[in-house]
Amino acid sequence: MKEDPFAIKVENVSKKFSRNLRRSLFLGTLDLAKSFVNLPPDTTKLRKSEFWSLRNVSFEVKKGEIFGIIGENGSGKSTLLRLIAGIFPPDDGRIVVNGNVGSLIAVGAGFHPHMTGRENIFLNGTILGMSRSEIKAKFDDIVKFADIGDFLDAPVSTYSSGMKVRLGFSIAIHRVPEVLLVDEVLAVGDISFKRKCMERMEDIRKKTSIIFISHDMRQVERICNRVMVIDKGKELYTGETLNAIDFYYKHTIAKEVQNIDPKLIVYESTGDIYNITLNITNEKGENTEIFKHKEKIVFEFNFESRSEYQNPILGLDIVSPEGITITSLKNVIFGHQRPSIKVGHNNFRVILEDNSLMPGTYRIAFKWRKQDNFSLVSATGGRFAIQSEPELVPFGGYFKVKYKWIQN
Amino acid sequence: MEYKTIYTPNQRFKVNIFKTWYIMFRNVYDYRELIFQLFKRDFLMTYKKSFLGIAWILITPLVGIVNWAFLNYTGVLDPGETTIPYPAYVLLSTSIWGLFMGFYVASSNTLNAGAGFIMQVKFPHEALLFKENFQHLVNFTISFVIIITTLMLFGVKFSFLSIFFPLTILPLFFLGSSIGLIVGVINIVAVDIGRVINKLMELLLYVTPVLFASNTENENLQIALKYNPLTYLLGVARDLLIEKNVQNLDIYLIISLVTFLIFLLALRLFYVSEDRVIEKMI
Repeated sequence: MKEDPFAIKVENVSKKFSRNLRRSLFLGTLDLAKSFVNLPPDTTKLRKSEFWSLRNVSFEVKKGEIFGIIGENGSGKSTLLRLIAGIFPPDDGRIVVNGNVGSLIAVGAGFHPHMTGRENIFLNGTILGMSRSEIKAKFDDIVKFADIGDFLDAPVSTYSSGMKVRLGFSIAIHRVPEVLLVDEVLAVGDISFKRKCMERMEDIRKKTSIIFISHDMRQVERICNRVMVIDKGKELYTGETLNAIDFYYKHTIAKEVQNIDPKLIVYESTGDIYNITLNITNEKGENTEIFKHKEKIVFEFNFESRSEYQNPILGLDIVSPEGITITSLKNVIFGHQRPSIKVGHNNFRVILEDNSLMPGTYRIAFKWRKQDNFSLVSATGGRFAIQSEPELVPFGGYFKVKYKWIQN
Repeated sequence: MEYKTIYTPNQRFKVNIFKTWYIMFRNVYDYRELIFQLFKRDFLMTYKKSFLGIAWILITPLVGIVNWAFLNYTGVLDPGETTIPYPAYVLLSTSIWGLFMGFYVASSNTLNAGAGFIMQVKFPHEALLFKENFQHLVNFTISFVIIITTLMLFGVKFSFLSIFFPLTILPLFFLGSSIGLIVGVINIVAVDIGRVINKLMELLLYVTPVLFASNTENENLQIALKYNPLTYLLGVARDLLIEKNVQNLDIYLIISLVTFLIFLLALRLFYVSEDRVIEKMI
């Protein structure tokens, strides 16, 4: 028999769910009643309150390939994984899986808190489809990989959450299936364990095809050969990893930046400075929120002041979505007179000339002080994003700096 | 080894009914290790947190026996219609009734028994049916042996036909688990229907000769008893233990055969329908 080159073939697969719980249960009851009289329900049409969680998704995973699926929360990634795992059937289309499937959808499935780690290895291993002899053969490796030390014979309820995950992951990863489905599990655990997991996945890829779902683009970039981007159940892009991640960034950045509230929130003020507005524009003065890497960004402040301030200390912080100030554009220029704040209307512009910010969304925070360092006003607000470019994807971080590699 | 799995909508409907049974029984055999591991988890761990531990398995039937001994001693309940003392009759009857209801409850709990991993891992859910019922049977056997032993110590004589008693467990299992299996699936989407059936099952107790003998004088009850298959399923099981002659054996055998067919049908219904509603367990 000729061996098929593919491990998974997903053909026009659709899956629907209902938004309303009661309605969903009612529809389930109808389906059930039909099933009891041996009438297959028509699954290809939407009924009231139903929506397509996945719609006409098609892709193929070759043997030995690590195929990534990226998409925002609720895009249908996990549903897709469950369909491939055979946990519930598709409503339309066809899925062919070549070989046995192992899933890392949630690790430690079926763990009993009162059972010891040792007992749970046998329980969980069996749930995952390993035979007793297989578990016995791999037992020492599992324990070593999980690195749970003396806790092996203690009840799992005494484990830290990290230990539980390590043990669960270790059991799952030691069953080497022909197709492995991995869903975000690597999001937990400490860094060294994460690294071990990634290495292990790279090891087993010789025998196993992997579908990998993650939010962490760095992980995806590191191990996937090809990546599919899905959104709202629809396939948007499938292709080379870097291009797919770039596509994903482009697609999400426009959306993500919309999720940031641009309103200026003043959380500390003497009341002297009021009616502050912040306008973010490009060099030509056009209002925009999405900039290219290296494109100049202009931040324009307009405000009213009741008093005059000589030599004020003004600043503008660029803040990452995680709330980290990644750079601060201060007006402190040694040896120069700083512009002063006048009574009445004021207008300041801050121009980011060397914009080496990496793709992502950002917001603004600022704290202005009088010459004597007493605070005048503190506020946050504003939003902008740097557009993705495929050649920036491998770098990561917040800035791209100039550097050289030199071999001696 | 190369093998392909294909998933399409309503796939299970296309499976031949005879093949369904082959697949299901084969699955149960293939997954016997899972059944054992889950049994171990749920059976032993129930008692792990208590000081008395596994002793609780003995305590429950012993309390029943103390009740029985008290009633026996005072003689308050002795209609004199039964071949053994009435309280002993009730004790045996309620045990067998409990056996039947246990099969029902265990089977209706089939899918719940997999909570925590049923949405994470693919495995044949019929394995859970057998795990739940096996667990129930082990519990029953322990308490039943205690009850029989105690009754013998108190001088109750058992018929030599008692050796056939284990066989009578089968039709009780077939009927109880058939109803339970279907109710279990219904429970995923229509809890209300499940609850109503639960209540009806409890009410069955009053139209089955458990607390009273089958030769009651109430006419309506007589009719109910006559058409209630449990009258025969329970009656013969009990008669084998205590009576010299077993009544209605012919009807019993026919009903037993029917329960087996019902069980096969229930398996098929379960196989086809659980696939439609399992996603609602999320």
